[in-house]
Amino acid sequence: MKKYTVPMLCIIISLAVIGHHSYRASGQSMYMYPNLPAPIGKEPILITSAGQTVEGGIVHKLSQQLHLEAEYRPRALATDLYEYQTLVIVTGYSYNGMLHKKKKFKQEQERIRKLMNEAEADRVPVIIFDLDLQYRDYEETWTILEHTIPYSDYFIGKRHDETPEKLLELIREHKVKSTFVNEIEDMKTPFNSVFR
Amino acid sequence: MNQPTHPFWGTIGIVLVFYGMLIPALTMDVSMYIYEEIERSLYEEDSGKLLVTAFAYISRNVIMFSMIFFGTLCLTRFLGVRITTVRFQLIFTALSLTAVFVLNMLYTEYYAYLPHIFTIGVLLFFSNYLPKQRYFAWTFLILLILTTISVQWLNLIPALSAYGFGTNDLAVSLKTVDEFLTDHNLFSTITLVFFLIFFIIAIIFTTLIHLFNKQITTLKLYQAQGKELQRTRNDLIESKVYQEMHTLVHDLKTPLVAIEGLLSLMEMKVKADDHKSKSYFNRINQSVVKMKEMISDILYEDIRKRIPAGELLDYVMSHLNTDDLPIDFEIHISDDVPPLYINKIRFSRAISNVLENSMIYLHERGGKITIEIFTDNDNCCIRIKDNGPGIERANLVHIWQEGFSTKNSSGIGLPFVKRVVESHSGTIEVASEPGSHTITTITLPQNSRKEAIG
Repeated sequence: MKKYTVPMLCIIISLAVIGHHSYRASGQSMYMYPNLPAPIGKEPILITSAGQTVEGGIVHKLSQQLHLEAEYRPRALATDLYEYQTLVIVTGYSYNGMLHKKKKFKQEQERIRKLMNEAEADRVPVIIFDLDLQYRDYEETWTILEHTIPYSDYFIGKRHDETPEKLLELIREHKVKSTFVNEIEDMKTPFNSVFR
Repeated sequence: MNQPTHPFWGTIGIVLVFYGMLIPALTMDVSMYIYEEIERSLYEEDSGKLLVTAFAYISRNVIMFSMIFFGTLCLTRFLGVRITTVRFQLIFTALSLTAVFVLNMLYTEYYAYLPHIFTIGVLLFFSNYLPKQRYFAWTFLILLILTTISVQWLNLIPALSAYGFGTNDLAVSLKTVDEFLTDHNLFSTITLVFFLIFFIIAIIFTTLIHLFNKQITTLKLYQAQGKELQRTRNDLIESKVYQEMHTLVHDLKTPLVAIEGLLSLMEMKVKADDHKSKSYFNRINQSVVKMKEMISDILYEDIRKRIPAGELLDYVMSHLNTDDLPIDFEIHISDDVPPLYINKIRFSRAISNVLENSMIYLHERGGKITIEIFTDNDNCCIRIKDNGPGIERANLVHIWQEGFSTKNSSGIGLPFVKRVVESHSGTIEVASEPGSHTITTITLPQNSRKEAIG
């Protein structure tokens, strides 16, 4: 019977973690804006990625479906912002995305910092998209959020089973309006409300 | 190399773990291909392409984690831990999870630990049913690959993301794009199907191997029982032959006593000056006494006498049919060899058996048999060396088993020799170099007489 101890322990730990997640996820409720009451942004829109995940492309697709005048430039610099009237940042760290764009995380941080400063200087509204923080719960993703949320005007994110207290605190602290949705498709409504 | 603690396994373990951890760096092109294909399937809104990309992702991960886990298995075995113990399972689990931890430290892809704990749990559970035999490592590898494939598909089931499955970069990218393109419909079904397919294959594989091993074990048991039966039958026959011979030898005593008595009567009738007849009677008497001694030696195994080594060898050689054989016999007896305290008949028979074994192979092609008797410390050694074909290493361990023979004989010769030598408190060793020579060394303690008396 001893020979089953370790494998059973491993399987029980796995099931216990799954069970614990289910328990934590149950009974959670959160109040939020369904969308903005009035538009805050104007076209043309610059969509860029902070962390180089593929999700930047998804937000670009959403903008196309909403017939918004938007451009997706994952490596956009602060100097590129003069052409646009709204900045959309898609947050999330991707190791492979960074390798693909041949960038180091520090360079990415610096690019985002300059972009944020430029947006603030030019009074360009900043919209943050977070599509999968729950799964990309990485140290680098949090660093990106800490760099971007203070400059942002509106936060659109995916609803978590249990929204991290840290994210809520950041949003509350910087008085950022926020909307959390169940599915990516549902992001279209708050995204549209930014412009129309 | 068959030994798990052989350096080969340690080296293989380190190499596999090392290269397994280097896979993300070595296969950067593959990672970039996967990333680009995810982006392309998003732009082209092609869910088919996304599924193909998922296959590439699974393949890469399966190769990486199979190498790492198999490497940790080799390392655990190299550490000398027996695979049937809980310690083995604990060390294997600890090494594997440490490897995943180091992988996450080296690359910030952030592989979740839960799927790996689950993989290890399932793997160890199934491996309990694998036979812990020569090919355990290979059956374990196949099981490892099947389990890793099935659990890697679990990483792409969207519903399990919330529970810690598939939190690494590429898995999240795949699932997010799948949500956008198909609202999780594609991955929810396909990945579950693939997980089940490979999981069931793993179960079937384990069951088949387990049942096959059971069959083999039963077959081996039958074989062992058959051998045991044959051995018992041989013992019985031997015992019957021995008993009959014993009775026959015992019955020889009666006519001998009659011969002895009649001889003494006849001797009395011989004239005092008939020296020739007296000499004949004297020689007949000596022969009768010798015959009585031989009968006693055969009947009573414990009877021992001090016999000079030369006399023993003369006696042995006189009973061997060495005429017309192309075999050279060389005999060397050291001067310091004391008389041997032995049962002459039985011990001679034992040495004859060893010599006959050598002669069997040399009687056609010819050769040389050297017999040396010398003292070594407090022991007396009899060494018989022949330049025959030698004994295969695999057969060397079986030569003392009754019934074992490579030349269709009864297979009781060498076991008899061993029994006789051991009954004289001695030891026997056989060393052989196939194709070169065989050396049989019998060692008798010189003080065995004192012990026997004591």
